Amino acid sequence: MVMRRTRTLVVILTVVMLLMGAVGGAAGGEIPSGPIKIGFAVPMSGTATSLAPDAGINAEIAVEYINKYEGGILGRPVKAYIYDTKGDPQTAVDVFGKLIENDGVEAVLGCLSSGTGLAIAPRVESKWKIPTLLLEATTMQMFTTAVPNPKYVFRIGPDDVMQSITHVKAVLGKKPDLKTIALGAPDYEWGHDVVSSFTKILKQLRPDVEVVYTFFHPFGEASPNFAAYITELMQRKPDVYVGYSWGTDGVAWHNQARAMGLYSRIPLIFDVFSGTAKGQLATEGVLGETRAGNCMFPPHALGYPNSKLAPMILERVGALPTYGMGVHMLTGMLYLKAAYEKAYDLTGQYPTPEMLAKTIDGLSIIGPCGITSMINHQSTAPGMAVGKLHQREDGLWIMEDMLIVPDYLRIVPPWMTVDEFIGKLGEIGQ
Amino acid sequence: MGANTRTGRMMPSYIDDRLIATIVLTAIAAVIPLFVSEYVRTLIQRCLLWIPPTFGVYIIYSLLRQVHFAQSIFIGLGSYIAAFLAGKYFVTSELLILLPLSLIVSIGVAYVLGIFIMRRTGFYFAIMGIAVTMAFWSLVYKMRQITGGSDGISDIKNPSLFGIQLGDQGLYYVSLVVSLGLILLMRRILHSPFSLQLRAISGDLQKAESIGIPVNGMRRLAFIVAGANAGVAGVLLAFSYNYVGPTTFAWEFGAHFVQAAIIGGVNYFVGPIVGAFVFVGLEFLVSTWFPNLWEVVIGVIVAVIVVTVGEEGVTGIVKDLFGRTLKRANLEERTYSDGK
Amino acid sequence: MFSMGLRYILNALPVVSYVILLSFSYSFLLYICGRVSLTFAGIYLVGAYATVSLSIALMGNSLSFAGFMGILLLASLLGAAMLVASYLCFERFLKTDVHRMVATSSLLLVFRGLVKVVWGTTPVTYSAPFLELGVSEIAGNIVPNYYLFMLGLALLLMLALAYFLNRTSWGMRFRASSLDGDRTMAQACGVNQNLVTLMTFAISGVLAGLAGGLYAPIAGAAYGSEANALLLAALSVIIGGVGSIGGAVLAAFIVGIVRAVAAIKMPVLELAVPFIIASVTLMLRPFGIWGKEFRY
Repeated sequence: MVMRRTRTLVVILTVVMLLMGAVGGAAGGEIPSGPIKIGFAVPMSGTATSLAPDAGINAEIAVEYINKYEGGILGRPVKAYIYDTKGDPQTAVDVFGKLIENDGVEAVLGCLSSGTGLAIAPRVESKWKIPTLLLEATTMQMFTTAVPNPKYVFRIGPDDVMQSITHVKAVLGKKPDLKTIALGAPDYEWGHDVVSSFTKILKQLRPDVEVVYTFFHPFGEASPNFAAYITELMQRKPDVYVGYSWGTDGVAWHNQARAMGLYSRIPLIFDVFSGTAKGQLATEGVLGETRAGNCMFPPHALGYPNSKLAPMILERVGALPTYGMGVHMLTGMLYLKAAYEKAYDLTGQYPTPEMLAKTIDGLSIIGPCGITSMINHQSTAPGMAVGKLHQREDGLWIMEDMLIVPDYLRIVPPWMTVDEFIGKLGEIGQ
Repeated sequence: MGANTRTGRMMPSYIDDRLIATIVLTAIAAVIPLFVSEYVRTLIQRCLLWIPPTFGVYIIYSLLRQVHFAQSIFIGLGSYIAAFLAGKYFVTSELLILLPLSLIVSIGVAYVLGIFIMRRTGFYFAIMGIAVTMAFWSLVYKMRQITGGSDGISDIKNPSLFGIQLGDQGLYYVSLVVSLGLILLMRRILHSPFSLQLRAISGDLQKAESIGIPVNGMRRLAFIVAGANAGVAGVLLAFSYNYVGPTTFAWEFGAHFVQAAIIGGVNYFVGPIVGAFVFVGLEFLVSTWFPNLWEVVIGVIVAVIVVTVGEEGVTGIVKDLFGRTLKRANLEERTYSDGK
Repeated sequence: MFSMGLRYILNALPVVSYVILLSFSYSFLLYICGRVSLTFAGIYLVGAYATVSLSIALMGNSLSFAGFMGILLLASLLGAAMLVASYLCFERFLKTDVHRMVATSSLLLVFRGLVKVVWGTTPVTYSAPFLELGVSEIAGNIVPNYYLFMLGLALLLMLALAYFLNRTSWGMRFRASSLDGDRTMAQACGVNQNLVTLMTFAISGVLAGLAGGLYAPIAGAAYGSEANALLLAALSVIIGGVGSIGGAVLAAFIVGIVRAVAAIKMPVLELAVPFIIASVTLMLRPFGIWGKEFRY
């Protein structure tokens, strides 16, 4: 008797719950009113700040852009919750907790350094389950060992192999007759990662080129003196120098190398991030990448959305564009907007975090770097184009003679390991 | 003189009051995770784990009148021991093995460092602490094959106790028990002849030496006690974030414990506890309330506390405000008299 | 070989010159007033930002050497004013060394927070003097003239200070009040201690502000640069000894050159090497290479 009664109770309860679920589902079709909450966890103090300048202001700018020019997301205005991670992984975990558990944000953009990203990503996957767009955190470790099968974690910055393929191809394309090359990078994991993948790819494509000098300078000292490296570099006389210094390091490097005459002594210089500062003098003809200091606005994208974004950044920050912070923030916001609207259009329901995460993967948008797609949780731009810096008459720095490497040559397919893919690079075509 | 007043306070009725206060506070800490969201629990857990290293600073300060900036070395050692053994080169995540191991390593390293750090005093001791911390930091930062460099070590498994896997909640209670245990141990130590000898040393070096106190040995012992506290906390900190990076070795991190101790008030035994909670909580709240201005706010608060109440700290302010009600409670207990 | 050795010295010059000024700014205060104060690093930061923004505002990206010197003078006077103000409103209420260390280091936090509010964290640069003074060639090594200008100015200032302290009557009053002398005795003999303290703070501020302003064209004014400057200056004081002008110069050269050599020959040790030198100095000569034993 007791058994049967229990069973009836269970059946009734199940039916009731299913009904409630259906009602709830129907109610989910409506778009909630009020602003949509998006969290930003960015370094705004500590060492990382001088390397990610004015990250907070750039987050505000991206949100303001979405509200002002794109009509918000699904007609709802975006409300930003911007917190300071202090560049510290442990603080980042606490800050993410507050954003997700206390403020109830629906998605998070954040984490610049690989360390903070690596502390955050496993927790997002296992516990918080909220779409999280990492701004950089680009060491290969992220999607190989830390979160091998990501569901909620996405990355906007290009991974190290992707960008190195672009960089090697650009160097080979701009100076086909090079014999020797020198590399310099900041001394932290990303720097070592990027130099080793560059060397590996270069060995594959042009085994005859010799790497004559590789150095790693202290990372983020804020007032560095690079004279020792610069003189050493001039002694070795490479045909090409590829420099990965960024943020304040990049600014100081540019000033010092220019004053000591490095730019006139080495035939081709590729300043990947060619530093940004207020009052900075860039150098004509030096190669730069899409994230690079003064030239995040390649000519093919001068219309949408950059013609609106650039004045906003210039007005609030005073310099263009502060190490791609503006690029990353707006790219992330545009992904989110597209995902919300696509998910809503397809299902007629206000998207849950899971739906949102599924929708973000595979999206294509037009962002500050042109057309960019999210493939296997990895955004394809920035990091796909290299060009020569040139100052236009109106004072804006742009890139000329752009070399754009197509995505299919840069993205490691899921059935290959990174090393296998690099090994096949020569066959895929130049 | 300090000793007499202190033993005078060891009357049974006072102990009862203190015992009640301790039990009530512990009960609150034990029950709180049931009512708050997870991030608040993580934050409280962080406060709890900040107590032992802050006590280390407190011991060196209140007994020897020195500023101990090198606590982050031991936090880092403990954290990396957990990260290696329960993460990168997985051997075990058993806390009963990791905690004693970290304790032994911290004591060993503190013994060696103490030999030359503790010979210096004042400003030189402080700078020496920073210099040694930075040397450790750059070692960890540069040995990237082993330590993961700036990326740190992220795949730390959850800890287990007696072979049972602990969840986040379980780890919270372990942290509570460990820091409570260390607090009680520190209380015992501060009421032992050891602390009297240290006070004698900081009072008058020559006198202390002439009555047969092994000055250098005792100083080194104080350094070891401080380091061991931090080493134990380091293991649990690593588990509570499942991540360890070289920032745990940075001297700025060690400086935070000094600030926490000063804010809490170095004249009181509860100072480090109050300081850890106030500093971590205040820093987190202010930096999320005013993300652009928090440095100014925190800086001004600390500076004002130091200028106005000095060594009394927040505990002193609270005591002044509620002097009568708290008179017989825990806060009243002074652990040293400055003899001025 | 000679050219090689010279190369490291020349490469180290910018760091050497600003560390001379900054470390002496710190040790001068410690020597004369017996006060530990870390505020000088904040003054360094403000000096750098003030120099750069004044230069951009007044000269754009062009260079007028006299104008730049004028701006450097302004920046150092600003530094002096700020340090004196900080003493009058804040630091004189601090009783012990520990309080001074903790309180002034939180004051540093305030400084960098205010810099963030005023200038943001995007670095600002004015590099015209550095770029346009040109380069010279010394024994096959290229060295920007601005490095030589920096070193010259720093050494000149040190010489002037040495003359002031050792050859003038006011200098004698300073020395009488210092750790070498006896403050109470000096007071009894009619040396106005308040004035001496204020002047010490002013001189210290001038040195710190100038250090920031001089180095700014090379590395730009950047949020957070004060932490690195603070460490280098404190280590140089440890190595050179408190209150010694020769010690400050010697320690700055040691720190700068050893770092430049390590950067090329032993990159693993580049960051650690100043700390290692300081630790070894503390063990072998606790009061610095050129210093004397004081109460500290």
